[in-house]
Amino acid sequence: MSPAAHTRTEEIDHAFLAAAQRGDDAAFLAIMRHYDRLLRIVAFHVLRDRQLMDDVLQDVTLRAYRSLRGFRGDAALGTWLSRITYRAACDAVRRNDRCWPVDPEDLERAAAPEGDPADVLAVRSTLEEAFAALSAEQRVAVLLVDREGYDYATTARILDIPAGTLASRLSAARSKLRRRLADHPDDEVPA
Amino acid sequence: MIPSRRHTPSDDRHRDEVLGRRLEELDDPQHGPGYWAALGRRLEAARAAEASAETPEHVSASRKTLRLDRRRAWRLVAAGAAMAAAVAVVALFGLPGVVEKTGPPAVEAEPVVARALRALASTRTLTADYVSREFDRTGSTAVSVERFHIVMRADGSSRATTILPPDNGDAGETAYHFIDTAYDAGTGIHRIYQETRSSEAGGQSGMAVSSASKTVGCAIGEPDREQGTTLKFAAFAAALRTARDGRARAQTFEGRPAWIVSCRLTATSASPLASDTQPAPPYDRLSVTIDKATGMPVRVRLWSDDILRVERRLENVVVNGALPAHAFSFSPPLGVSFDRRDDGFRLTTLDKLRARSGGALLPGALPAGYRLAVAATAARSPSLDRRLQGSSITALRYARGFDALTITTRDVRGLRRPPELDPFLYEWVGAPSRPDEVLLTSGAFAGATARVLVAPLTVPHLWVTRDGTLLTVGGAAGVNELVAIAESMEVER
Repeated sequence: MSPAAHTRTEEIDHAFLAAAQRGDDAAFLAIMRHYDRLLRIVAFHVLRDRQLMDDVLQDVTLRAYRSLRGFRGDAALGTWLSRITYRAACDAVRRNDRCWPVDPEDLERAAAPEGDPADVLAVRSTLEEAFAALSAEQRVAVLLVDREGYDYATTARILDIPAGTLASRLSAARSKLRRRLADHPDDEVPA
Repeated sequence: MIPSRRHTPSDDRHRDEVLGRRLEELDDPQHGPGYWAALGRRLEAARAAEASAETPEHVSASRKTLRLDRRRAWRLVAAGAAMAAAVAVVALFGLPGVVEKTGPPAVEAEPVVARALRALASTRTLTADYVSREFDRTGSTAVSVERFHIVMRADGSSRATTILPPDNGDAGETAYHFIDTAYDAGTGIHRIYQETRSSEAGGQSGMAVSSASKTVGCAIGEPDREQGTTLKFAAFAAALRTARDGRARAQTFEGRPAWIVSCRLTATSASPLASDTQPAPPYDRLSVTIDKATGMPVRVRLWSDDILRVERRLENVVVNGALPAHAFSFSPPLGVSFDRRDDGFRLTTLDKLRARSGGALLPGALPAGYRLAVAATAARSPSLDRRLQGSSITALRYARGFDALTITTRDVRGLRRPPELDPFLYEWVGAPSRPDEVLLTSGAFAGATARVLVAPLTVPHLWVTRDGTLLTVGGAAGVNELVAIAESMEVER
């Protein structure tokens, strides 16, 4: 959303937090909708799976619902929710590495057909491929800092790493992205 | 009291803004259909559990059990029901009128849809033949067929001309209704010519009744501008957005390589296509066919209980071709003159709006790439339809290629306007829409409940009223984007 095309989510008015802590469910849902985009970004770019993203975010919402009364405001509410989301998404990755449930839709998949794999695989741009090649932590870090405009302190708190570690992870991610994007400029849709 | 916008300066000393701008090309992941409804149910269960004084450990154990049961259930389906599933798939895809046949494996629709949406956002002109069919409950008989030749330009100009069936000279009386409607965004003039003709046996021409009108001061976008050509095409974009969490298969369509994107629809997917004689069924499956070469959506289909009910197609599509100089204006035939009308909208600028007493309600945030195309005001709505009633109307139209967003505000004080009255849908349409209800948390409308509807064959839209001001946001956007725009509305002076 402009003025920058994507901007960091502003903190919600404190009145909504106070109401939610008093048990106002409409206010609580309003809080979750307010931060929804930020949490989707964090969860999806760890999990890289939409269904899992929805599952994790529903779990995060329930966790926040139960814990909100104890939220003391040591961090910004968005930061607190994002940190819960990042941890939950990382936990989900670890669990799913051990055991991947079979989706019935997968039953429809035939064996890999002959012919050009480009006809079978989803179309992905060079940018998407370069981005997907980063680690989960690098993806979230570079999105929050470089695209969304969050400061180092906030991003480090979300990722639960020291600011110095964040700086080095960001540097590595940026180098990797720039290198790949310079080597393979994206084919733009003609203007 | 309208809260002022607060911008917390960020530590951007180490922010790579060049890379950040490039990363804006990445699409935001969206929730699957029914996410918020399912979340609401889980919260209700959590509340009920708290109310019955279950311990948190018991609740989370129950939830964990539920999740394990679900996974176990899927494994059982996979291990024990693979044969049944294969038979079901063959039966499903083998039935006539049902969904597209199997072929190459299905993949995530998101990147395919994202590419199609980017193609729409960069399109400058489009010409095509638009064909619309609605089928009866058996799916075998088309109860309604429309054919138009459409021409569109990214500034919002559009033209639709009836494609008449060939005159086969059969015995018996035939009648047709011909329409030529053109809107020129450069002049804000809308022209319509209509002719109804009957012909009798032997091919002798019968009576013809014709009329023509020319309207100046047209509304610049939805909901005030009559839904016509732009709605026909906007429906394709809306269907794409609905289908982005579905699956895509590479197939051919009309002999050209294509993607077919399919998804299930939830109960909240409204169906604003009811006619007076045929209430709309609840659609439960949607497919969108995307031409690979142009990236354009060229067909939308809707099913109910596996019966095909609606099909919209674009044929003979030409993208970014040259248009003749007067593509969006015409003169009526000899002997017919235009009835002239003035709908009262006048073009203006943001500076003039801000200079008004009381300032102007303007959006502070928009989806990437949108630029203001035109702003207009009207003292009151030209329509007698109560859904559009209001005064001191301000309309802002933003464009991004073929994507457009129109934001309107109007004074509705003193009007008995039910909050659920949808400004974008005709009340006679029948089946009520089922929009999401969202409590807005910031901006001039903070604290008010907005209603948001994104459905396959209608312009995505939002409406909300606060302190006697009705806000509408309609166009090429998803639920979260519409809500974000509404929450960014502030008074500017």
